[in-house]
Amino acid sequence: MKPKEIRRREILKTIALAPPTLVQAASLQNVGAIAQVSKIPGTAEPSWKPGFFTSAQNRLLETLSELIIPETETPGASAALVNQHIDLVLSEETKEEQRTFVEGLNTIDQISKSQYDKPFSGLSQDQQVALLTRLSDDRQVRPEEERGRRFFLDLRRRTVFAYYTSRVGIHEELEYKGKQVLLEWEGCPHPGNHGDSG
Amino acid sequence: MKSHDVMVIGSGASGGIAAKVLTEQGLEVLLLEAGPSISGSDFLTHHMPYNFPFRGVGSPSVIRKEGWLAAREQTPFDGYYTKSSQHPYSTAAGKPYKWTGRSRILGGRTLHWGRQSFRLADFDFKGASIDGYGVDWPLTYAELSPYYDKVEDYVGIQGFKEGLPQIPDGRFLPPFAYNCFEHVMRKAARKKGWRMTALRTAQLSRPHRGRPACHYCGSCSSGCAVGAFFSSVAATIPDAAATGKLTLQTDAVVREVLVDQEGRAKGVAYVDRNSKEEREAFAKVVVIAAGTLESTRIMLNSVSRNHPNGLANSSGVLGHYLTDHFTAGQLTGVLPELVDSEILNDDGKSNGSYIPRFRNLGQRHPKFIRGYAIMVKGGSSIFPGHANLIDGFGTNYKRQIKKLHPAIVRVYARGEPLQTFDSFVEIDKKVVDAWGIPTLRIHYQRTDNDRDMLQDSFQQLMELMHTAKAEILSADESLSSPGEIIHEMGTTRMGNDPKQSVLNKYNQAHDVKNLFVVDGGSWPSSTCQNPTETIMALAWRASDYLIQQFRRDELL
Repeated sequence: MKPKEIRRREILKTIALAPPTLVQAASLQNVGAIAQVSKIPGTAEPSWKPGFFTSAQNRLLETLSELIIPETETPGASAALVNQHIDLVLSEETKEEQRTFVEGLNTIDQISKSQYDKPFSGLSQDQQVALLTRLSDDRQVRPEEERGRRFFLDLRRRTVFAYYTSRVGIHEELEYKGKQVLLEWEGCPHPGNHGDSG
Repeated sequence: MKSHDVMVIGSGASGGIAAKVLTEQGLEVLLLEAGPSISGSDFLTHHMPYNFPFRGVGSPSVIRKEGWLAAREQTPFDGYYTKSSQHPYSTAAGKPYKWTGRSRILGGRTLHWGRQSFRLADFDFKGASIDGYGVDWPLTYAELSPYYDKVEDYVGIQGFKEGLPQIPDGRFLPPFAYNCFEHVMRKAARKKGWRMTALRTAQLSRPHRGRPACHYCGSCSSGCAVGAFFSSVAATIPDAAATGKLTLQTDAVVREVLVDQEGRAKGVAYVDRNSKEEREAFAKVVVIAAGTLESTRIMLNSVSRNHPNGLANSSGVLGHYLTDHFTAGQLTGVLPELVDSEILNDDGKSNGSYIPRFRNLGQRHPKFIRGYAIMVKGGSSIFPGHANLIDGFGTNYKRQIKKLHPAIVRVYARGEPLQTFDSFVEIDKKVVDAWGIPTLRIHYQRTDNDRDMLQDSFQQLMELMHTAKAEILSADESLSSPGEIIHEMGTTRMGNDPKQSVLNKYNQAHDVKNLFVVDGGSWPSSTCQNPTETIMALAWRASDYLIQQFRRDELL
């Protein structure tokens, strides 16, 4: 689809043609807001420190989230600062939710130690993947690892949310094309309209 | 203190129409809004999730305290959604009701409504005559039709003409073109013998009455700063103000309607939202348009010698027959012919498609009466919700999310709940809101017909998806919680018999000549169409009648 993008000038013209209404003044500022979208938080600040997690918990969280959504042709969870978002959200959750999450992180290390005699961070990447593969598959997971499996699903949900609402996830990975200002809606560009004869 | 000709309580869809029609005919109108005015400069419609600390959804602690809608960061207007802590209500044991989507702001829920606009069918007005349940409406499609015309001409509604009796055609703006997933699903619907058409929405496909056309940013729920979708703030209130006949009083939280010695309405007692001072305002005629449940609450709280059971409630039906539409089953799936296709801008037009009701149109279904429509949404949106519906992690997981992204389709049924006397609201004097006003206790009763309809609708949704060769990712075979669809209706029902209804066919109270209630509360059956266009048509018709009666001194 090659939608025609309206130039700012044309938008202003459209708005100027409209008679005064209560929303009039807002219109101009709102169009201006499109241009400001690039001025956003979320780029790595070297001085960032976790507000909720300990440094060790934060490192484990970053490792796990990057395993869930790794770098491919596009950046992964780590570059999208998924750990920073999860830290912020956890800091506002209830004591019980906080405790459950921290226990979940500990569970990952316990499972790792019982199987490999090392914490999760000491495993090779293949071992890390093997452990998560078991937790993510209800046919493979062991009964004593149920808590680990629940944690994995919760962590995956949080990682997915943080990644796909980040600048990286929206624009680079999923190539989002919405929130544009278009002159008209052209619909499906595929020839033949998938056999829909109208 | 000045006494206005008419006082309108509430500035949403129906109150806005009443204010516009009444002022344009020369009446002096006082429009009371419980919330603040909206400051347009705060619209953040075009912002991205990452522009907000909590990605737009709000902090968990605010969500816990004020509710998930009030917590949204993209709509930081006071009252765009009400805060739970200020607006309590209660429910009866075992009868959950999620009273949601509430607003206290100039323009009310028109600021974030779903914009879907359908006429009711001729048969919707006479359900009881057809299947014996409930009551017919006291007016016919033919009587309301000229007002549908007026609303469509004024509001601006895009859509296809289809010639279907379930959703009669109207005066539409040119329709938005179909997206790819809609073409695939239209083909499948046709194989099932159904016509699928684009949702008719109050969004402008071309400039209309001074408002600019939609620019397809796709973020309608965060408000439209340019007024390209219909809201009171973009259309009715400025038009009413332009007459010079409108007095707008925001931050006026109405406590009760005041009556004179004969029990006629003379004004309201209200609380200043900010200072919490008690105030009064007066008018010759009172029009209540606060939304079905809030209007009912005001009336039940208006107890006087003449109206011991609440205002205009000699029938005893005020507060009864509450319904909210329901979603009956919901499926999410993947359309194979769109998997791994180029990601397009699918959510810019911000709507989807619709398969109008096909049950009980002649041939009777053996299990249930009335019917449901099917909503079809899909394509790539800003957030890949399907990521939580597939297994795995890592590189393959990430690639799979992207491949499926343009191929997602979601279908759900929207059904007609039967109105029953046992679904009702009452005043809970023990619980007051932030302004000291007693609140509602809601008793919502589902019917067997609702559940029997679900069985059938779920089966039909599955068949539709199979016909489209969709792979199902999730299947929810349940009814939505009452309240969730935000289509409250019925608690001030209209009818010809003053013993069985609160309002007459012109939305005028049987008991109080100079009192009108013009929101969705008047509906004596719920139908399965989205209600706002019909609410506006009824409000327009009621306003015309009010003016005629006012000029003949019939309301004094």
